[in-house]
Amino acid sequence: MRLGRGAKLALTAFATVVLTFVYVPLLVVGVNSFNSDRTFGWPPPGFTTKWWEAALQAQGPRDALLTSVKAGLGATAIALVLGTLLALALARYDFFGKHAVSILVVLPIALPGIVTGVALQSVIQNVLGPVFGIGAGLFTIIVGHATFCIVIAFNNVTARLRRLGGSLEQASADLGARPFTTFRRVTFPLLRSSLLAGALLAFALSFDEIVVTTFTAGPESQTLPIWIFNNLFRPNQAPVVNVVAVVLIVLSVIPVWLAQRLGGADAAESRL
Amino acid sequence: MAAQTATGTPAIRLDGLRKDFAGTPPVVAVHDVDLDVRAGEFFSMLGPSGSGKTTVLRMIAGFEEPTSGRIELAGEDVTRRQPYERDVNTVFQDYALFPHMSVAENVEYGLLVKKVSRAERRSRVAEALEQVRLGDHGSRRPSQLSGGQRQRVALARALVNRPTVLLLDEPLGALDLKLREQMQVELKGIQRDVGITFLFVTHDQEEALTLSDRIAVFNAGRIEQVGTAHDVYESPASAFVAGFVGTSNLLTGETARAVMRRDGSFAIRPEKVAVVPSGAPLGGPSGSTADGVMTADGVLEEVVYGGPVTRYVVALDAGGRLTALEQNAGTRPDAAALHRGARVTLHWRPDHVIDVPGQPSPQSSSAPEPASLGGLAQQ
Repeated sequence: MRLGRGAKLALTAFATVVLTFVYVPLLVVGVNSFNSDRTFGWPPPGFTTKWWEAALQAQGPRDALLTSVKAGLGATAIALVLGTLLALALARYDFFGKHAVSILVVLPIALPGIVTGVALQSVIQNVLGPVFGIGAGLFTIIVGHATFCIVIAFNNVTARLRRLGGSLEQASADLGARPFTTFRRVTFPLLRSSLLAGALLAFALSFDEIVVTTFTAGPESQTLPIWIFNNLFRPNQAPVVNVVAVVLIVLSVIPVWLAQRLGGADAAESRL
Repeated sequence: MAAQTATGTPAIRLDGLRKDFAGTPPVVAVHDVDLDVRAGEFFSMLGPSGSGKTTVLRMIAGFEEPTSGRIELAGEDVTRRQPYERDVNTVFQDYALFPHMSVAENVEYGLLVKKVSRAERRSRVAEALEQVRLGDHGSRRPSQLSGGQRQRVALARALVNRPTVLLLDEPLGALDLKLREQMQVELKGIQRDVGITFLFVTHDQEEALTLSDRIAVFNAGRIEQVGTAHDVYESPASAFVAGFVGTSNLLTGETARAVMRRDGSFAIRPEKVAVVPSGAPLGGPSGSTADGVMTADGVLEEVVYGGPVTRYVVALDAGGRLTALEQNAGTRPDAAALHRGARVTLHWRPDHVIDVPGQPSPQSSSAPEPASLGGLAQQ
């Protein structure tokens, strides 16, 4: 389809406005992390790297970053294993309640984070803590994040399985391969790139999650977004928050970009 | 090939094989099928789509579990065995080549998972690729091959395992006509060379007639007839077989009584019916003489020129229609008189009339799907 000159101009302008609206604020955060004015006067009176130095030396953000990475890796690992198994079960086998299960799996990503958070908090306070002695901490953050990370892994793998169909696995069995050999030599290699894409997206999602984390994190375990939120309104910390925010942006963008390249259309269509 | 074990253990024996698919009411896909396929035979299961032939194939491969009945391979009961525990290999309709492996790795796969030694794997893969004339394509990916080449890789991947039985599920269906004809010849040659029993599923009656030692004609989950191509074509056991294999020229009821002068259902192959303008002396490609020849008068409804043959559709005065098929070996002197609407006389030899047992079954009243291109194309 060819567009007229006017339509082309209008669409270009429209796209520019939208992208500006989304990305200029991020740019401002980046610029402010080098702004020599403590109250972020605009235009910046000078360039400085002292906020970066301060941030690198501060213990708070460093601990929070470590917690975030641990939580992201943990949640991603759980999501990959459970999400893949679920996707395989739903794609390859018929069983009672199959349809219900497939809805229940995807639901957590549609549920408001605050509902998931409140629900998890009450379970932690009333069951996990008193009965099993598990208090709010890294473990509960991981479980909380895993609830929606599973959806990402599940969707990625499901999309790939649907595209592959079942005949390759039948062909493998027909040629004498037992189910585990078929998984190792046929199914898994064909899923690998979608698993990687799912893992990167799940990690990115976990890394900047704040609502569920608020309800599942203990006082000792702050993730990076929680740390930012807690320090945002402290005048002393504000410049360091900018630096942390820039780090967070970069760390979130890289996996998404990689996932897009790996999974292609596959990953994009399953991101919800 | 077929002769070697006429009395030996059949390569495949199906005993009361039945498959119901869940539903309300359940769909009976395969109705208590009994069948023996001899070792070394090229055996075809022919039928319209939904006739149960592919379901039978999938049960033999182990992808579907029979509702009841037994499957024996070379005398062994394999009914409850998993696909990977059966000595059969399948050539899938969509080939199902592993996209992440090279052609050679695809062919090697069955040997690899059965832990055949590396040296033997290498020589057998090379041999199998040579057999399908892809000796120098081993390092390519399936995506770099044409449809016909993929088909041959699928064949090599199955044959390299030297199975008791090779199952072929409409393997030529995705190829264009020229390639399909070429592959038919190759397939037959390969089967003759390796001597493995081929069980071939097709809805193309011409393909089945061309390739097979014997054919089972399926209809609505049942086998209507088992026999050689000649048997099935010249002596169909039912109205369905007469109609599905070759063009149906079926005469029933009043028309049959008027034309054949006796009760029953009759079929006559179009190439055995000759057509002449009314009043002209009889004689023609069927080699019939005036003695004992059977005739019927009618109006020429349609003249279809089809290259090597011309098809004449005649509305009989006695009711019903008959088709006559003539080779275009030369130009008929009376061609001008054979135009639409002309009065004509059809004639044929009585020994070419096929008595069709029974009335047409309800299923066969639905038209069989158009199966084949070429000289015997169906209406």
